[in-house]
Amino acid sequence: MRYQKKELLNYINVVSFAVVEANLYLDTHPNDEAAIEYFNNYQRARNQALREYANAFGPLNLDTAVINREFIWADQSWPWQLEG
Amino acid sequence: METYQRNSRNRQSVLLDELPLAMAYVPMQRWGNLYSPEEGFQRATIFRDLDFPFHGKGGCRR
Repeated sequence: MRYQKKELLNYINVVSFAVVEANLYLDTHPNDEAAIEYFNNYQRARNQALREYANAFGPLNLDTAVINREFIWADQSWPWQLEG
Repeated sequence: METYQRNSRNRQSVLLDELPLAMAYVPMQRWGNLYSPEEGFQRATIFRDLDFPFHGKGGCRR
């Protein structure tokens, strides 16, 4: 495991913010190569981190929710719940 | 964390003197001069060019 739960959640927040910033910039500069490269890089990092988080601590969103035989979303602790 | 910091090619500036008079202009933002994602998250913008903290009076930059 690369990160503990809290660090991984913080990392997801940080890269998500970076992706949204690039997204807003691209709204008005749709062909900016440097911004596109930045967006692609941090979107990839975000998706990867969301998958890692889902595998270790349960999904944060529908895209990374994996249901095998039972839907356990409601039984997992919430991301903002402090353990112990 | 790795940071991807590349400036857009088109970062040269336009001289105000070259523009027609009596028109209002909003300079177009150009990509570059970024904070790291961590610092941008703390400052609520990744763009150093757009980081204008509010100090109770206008027009100042920290």
